[in-house]
Amino acid sequence: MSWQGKILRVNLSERTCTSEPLNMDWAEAYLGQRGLGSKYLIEETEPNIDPLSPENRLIVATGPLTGTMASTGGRWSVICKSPLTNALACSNSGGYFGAELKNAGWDMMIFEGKAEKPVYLEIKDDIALLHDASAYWGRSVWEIEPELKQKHGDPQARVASIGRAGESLARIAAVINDLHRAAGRSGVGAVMGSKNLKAIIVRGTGGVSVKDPARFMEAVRAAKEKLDPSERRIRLGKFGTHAMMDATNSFGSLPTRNSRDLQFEGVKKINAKAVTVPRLSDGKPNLIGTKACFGCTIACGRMGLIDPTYKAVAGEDKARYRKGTGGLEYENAYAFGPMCGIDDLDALMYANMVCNEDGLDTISFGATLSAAMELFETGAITTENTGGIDLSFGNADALITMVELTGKGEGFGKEIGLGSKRLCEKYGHPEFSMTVRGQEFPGYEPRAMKGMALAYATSSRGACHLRAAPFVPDFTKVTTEGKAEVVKFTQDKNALVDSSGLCTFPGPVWDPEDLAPKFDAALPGKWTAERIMECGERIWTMERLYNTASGLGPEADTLPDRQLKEPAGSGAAKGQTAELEKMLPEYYELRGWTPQGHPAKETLQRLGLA
Amino acid sequence: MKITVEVHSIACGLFPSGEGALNLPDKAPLSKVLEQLALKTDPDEVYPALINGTPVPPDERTGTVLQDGDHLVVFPPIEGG
Repeated sequence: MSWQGKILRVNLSERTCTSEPLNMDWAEAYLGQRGLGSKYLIEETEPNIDPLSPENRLIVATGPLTGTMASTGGRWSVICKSPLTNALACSNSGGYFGAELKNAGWDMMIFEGKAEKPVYLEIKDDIALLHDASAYWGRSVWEIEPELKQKHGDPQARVASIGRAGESLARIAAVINDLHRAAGRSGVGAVMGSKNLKAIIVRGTGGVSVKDPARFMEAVRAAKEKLDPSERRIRLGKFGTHAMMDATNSFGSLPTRNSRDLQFEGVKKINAKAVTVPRLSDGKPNLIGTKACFGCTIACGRMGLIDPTYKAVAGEDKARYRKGTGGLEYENAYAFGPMCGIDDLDALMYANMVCNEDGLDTISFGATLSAAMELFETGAITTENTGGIDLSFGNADALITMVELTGKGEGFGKEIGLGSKRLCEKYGHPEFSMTVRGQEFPGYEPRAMKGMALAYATSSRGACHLRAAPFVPDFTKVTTEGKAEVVKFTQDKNALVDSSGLCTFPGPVWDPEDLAPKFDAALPGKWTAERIMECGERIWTMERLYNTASGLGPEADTLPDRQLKEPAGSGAAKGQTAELEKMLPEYYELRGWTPQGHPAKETLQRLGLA
Repeated sequence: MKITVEVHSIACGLFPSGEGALNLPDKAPLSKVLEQLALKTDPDEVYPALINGTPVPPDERTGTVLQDGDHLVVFPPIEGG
């Protein structure tokens, strides 16, 4: 009931696919997706395994509300031990793949072992088969997804796959579904590549049943009535996430040139307004439309079209890029643009397309390239290291070349694929790596956004803007006051939403009291706002225990020296550092953790984790 | 006195382009100036406002007066994704 009650276990070493019942005690405690997938990973593996070894699991998980009529109910997650951070990896994606998997009758897939040769998995409702993928290995997501649909004769099937970045074990590789949706963060694509698993194609026709359909639809209607007229939904639909760039730039929290600067002089050439301006060559703007994931009534996704005369897409062999495809959003525009000092809109669009095509996390790729640019400008690396490429900040040609090389795992692109932390350590300057727990910064500078400083430092998957949501309090006042409370609350809330099958983007429009009626009408038992929030807190605390066992506990609750010691040079926080030390003690106390940052015994007992 | 205004990602009745200059009486409080901009906003949400790059929280907007040459920026209560 809402959960399908079934897991598909795929042993790649043995080439077996087995159905097993979902552990319902765990499902009720950890919901689905991020929470439940992490619980299975933790129970089945040791925390110190090599993330790229056959011992790691690759868990593809839906939530209880995935595939239902709930608005935004199209989310799904990939969970494993991260090869980028060594922490728990959970990367969330939208599109249509997750709902299709749920409709095929599966809550979750667990891949274990390693295939001797490249394979892909076909699922058609309750039938699961492994096939030889040698014809697809070495090829891009954009090539193989349509071919797989054609081969299996079903244009309505959905595909999740890796590109050449995942095959070459780039630690910043993503899993791509529906051509331009990504489970992007923490290198989950490399784990899929390490298992010689190229793709999953799924078709589901069974539907998802809920406990009380009439009451469920009433709960869905009530939530939509609140979301639909909200300025937040209208704004996300109209501008997408890209609207953030003007806000962070005005505020002085837009990481620029590897966070050496906090405002970017070229922002008007690459912001949400720039993508709407018709260009001279064909009279069209970059932004050609919007798109929504399964069941979504927001439609924040962008469809973009590169200038067909742009140098990077000239020639017959580049025709695939001269079509409408997934467009620029805030995080990719920030990472390719300000972080690398680049104001060439079409270069950003090209980099975004190649990341989707070859399966790279856009944030980690852009932020690692920016670290390489700082290494280059300070002389720590030269053109001898880069294969002759001038990695000066602002060089759009370098972005174009490096994204191609990193996507294919060739030349200096292989080194970018290490991620910022390993790259900077290799060349003797770990201080140039803008990372927390080894994961690259999204587009929010912690010195100016104090709540985000705490959110990054305590994030269970390394620097992340989606593990907590202190945005509005941060933009309202530059202060540490009150930030621990908002970070703790939104961490727990996002943990529950990330485990539900829903999207976090409705944000404060849906508080826990708005979310609970959907759970209560869909799932067995009684579900209240307090109960779902406790699930969120339990999931957060479980992640903490795993990361601590992996050597990434309280000692990793920190930020780079640049944020802790170098005052901001401009913007709202001019002259200030991140002031993390002012917030951590209060945060630990609010969580019921010891002053040293470990969950206290009473907290573990209360959450059923002792 | 005269100030300059930038409004990001909010429909603005006074400046449909999102940018403009505004003549104001001396000691005009920020709360009144924000009303004058005729922004399409959600009354349940807080819209960040910066004067010369410094944020002014909602409870300080009545007591904050603008000065000649100030630059005012307003943007929506946006969250990342």
